[in-house]
Amino acid sequence: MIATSIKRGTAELAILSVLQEGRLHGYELARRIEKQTHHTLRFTLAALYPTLYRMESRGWLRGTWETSPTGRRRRCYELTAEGEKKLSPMREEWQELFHALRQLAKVSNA
Amino acid sequence: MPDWEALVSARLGPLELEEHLRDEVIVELANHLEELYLERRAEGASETEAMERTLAQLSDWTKLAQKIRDAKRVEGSMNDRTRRYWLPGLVSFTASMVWEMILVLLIPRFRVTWYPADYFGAPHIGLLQHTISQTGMQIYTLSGPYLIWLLTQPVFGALGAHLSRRGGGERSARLVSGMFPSIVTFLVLGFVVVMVAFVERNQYVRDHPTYAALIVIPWVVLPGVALMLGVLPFLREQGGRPVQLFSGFRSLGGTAA
Repeated sequence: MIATSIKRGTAELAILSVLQEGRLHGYELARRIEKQTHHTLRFTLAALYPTLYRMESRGWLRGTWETSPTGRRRRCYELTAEGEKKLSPMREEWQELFHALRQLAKVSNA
Repeated sequence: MPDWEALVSARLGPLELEEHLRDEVIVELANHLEELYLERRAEGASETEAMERTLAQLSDWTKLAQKIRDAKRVEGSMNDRTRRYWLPGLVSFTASMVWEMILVLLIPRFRVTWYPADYFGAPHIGLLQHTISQTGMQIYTLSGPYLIWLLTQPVFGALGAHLSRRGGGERSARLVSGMFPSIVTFLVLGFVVVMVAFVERNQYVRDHPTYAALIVIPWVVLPGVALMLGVLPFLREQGGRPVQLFSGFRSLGGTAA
């Protein structure tokens, strides 16, 4: 059975997956997701930051302020150990979901 | 170049967050909007067009403020573990204990203590009711109040499991939350027995360790089984609820959140 968490965790999975590659600030994170999905998925600002804050509150991410060479303050996010731990079961749940959808829709490459 | 921080601050409103948290949110969102604006300008858009396209990212500032407030405040004060384990477990345990106390108050003969009866010298103890028949035979029967308490335990098991599931708890979290009253009782009784035996050096308990161990049957094992009956329906994964895919995203051509 597909757990309830997977139904609402799509955005979280994308963020965790991208942050696994390294720390990023919000704008870069949204861009990276867009680029890696060939512009199929786009994060709006309105969806991104509440999700980031929620994940940070849960202890999956850590946000720290950095100052760029141009003097601009930016908040960079990185995965915590708990976030790392969360990623693997999330991926498995996604695979289970895709498998179920493939069976349902009889799509060969869902 | 627009003053993005002033714009975000004005549109987000007070946010009802501590001042430093609000300031951080404003700076972060303003940075993001500025990056978007500069990107549009680099693509050749005029200042007005770039501004319009950037602000198209946000159609409802009030909703955004509410989402940020919820994420920062509610989630911040109550993490996953609290929502899935501790709070449901505590509610289940407290409700079960309060119910027990109500029974104690309503029915004075229902005393919460342990087996065997004569350890505290009480004539009628908790689960066992001691009577002497006309022929002089000693009769031990399960006391009514204890049975009432025991038979109602599935309600408290279901309560803990339900709250855990509502908090997003996985199957293991629902199980632990529902069984929490028994788990806590087991730990407390274990602690008390050890203290009485080794700190108080109570001779009765030291001479009858089996009696002390037997206490777990009426106060841990049997309620545990009853609690489990209430938990079981909540161990099934929920089917039939709509699957919300791509929450938080918009696909190409979609509208902003």
